[in-house]
Amino acid sequence: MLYVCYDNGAYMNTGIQRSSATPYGADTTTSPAGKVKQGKEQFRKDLTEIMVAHHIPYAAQTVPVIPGTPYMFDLYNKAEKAFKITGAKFMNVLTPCPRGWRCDTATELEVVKAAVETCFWPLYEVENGEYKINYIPKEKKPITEWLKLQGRFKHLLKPENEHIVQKIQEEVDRRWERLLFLAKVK
Amino acid sequence: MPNLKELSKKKVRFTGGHRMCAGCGAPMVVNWILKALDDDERAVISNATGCLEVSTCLYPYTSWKDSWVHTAFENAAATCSGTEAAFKALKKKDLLMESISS
Ligand code: SF4
Repeated sequence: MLYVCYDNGAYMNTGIQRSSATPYGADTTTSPAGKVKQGKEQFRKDLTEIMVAHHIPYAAQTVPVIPGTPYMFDLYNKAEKAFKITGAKFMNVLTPCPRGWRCDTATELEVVKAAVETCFWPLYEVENGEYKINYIPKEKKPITEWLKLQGRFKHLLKPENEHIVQKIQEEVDRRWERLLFLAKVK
Repeated sequence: MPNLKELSKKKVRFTGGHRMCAGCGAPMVVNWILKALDDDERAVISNATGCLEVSTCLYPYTSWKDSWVHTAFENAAATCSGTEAAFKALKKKDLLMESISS
């Protein structure tokens, strides 16, 4: 069995309620940004790592096919590999929801690309406990590159919310460093 | 690296006409994942409730060419493992009409 999660970061179908997958600071109908609060106040639950902790034969994190990137076939390659492995397999795919992300449909893949290039959403796989990072950006982009393309994070870019952006950046860095360590890159 | 030309010849398992929002990423993810199956393989897909589930099976229509089960939020995997157990049991008793790959 291959379990595929298309992670769009909220309960989109019922009207964009925050979920455990919603990123920190995102404006949703149940974590609204306004005068008092500035969106969701918890970091995203790391579903891929939760699945890795189950010690299944294969768990991977990827993105849709984005033409022109070195990771264009990452999704296809991982699905092909997963289908050939016996047992429980898992794939987590960051999937754009233009309605909930409040982004442009024509350029939504640029948003996903920004998630990869900022290391918000690293491309990696864990096969029988062995971590492998499938793409390491030459130069890690600041998290604002991912935030600024989406209406759900618009409020975070106000000068008074700079500390929130910094907090998000620190968490992204921490998770990325941990992944580099687990994959024995560092 | 996969060959795009070859891939474009693969069997279409998820068809258009569904009611997902224009520009939604989910259908393209489904398409690419199903492309990774061999054409002679059959899939049983258990779909948890969500946009993809409610928008691709508006009675009496369906976008899915493979066996497809509508499940609740939390039990998509349980449904799938139950199906797998049933498949194995039928195979063991030689009750399958034709060979279907697991
Ligand atoms: S864009 Fe996709 S995930 Fe978002 S609300 Fe529409 S169908 Fe659902």
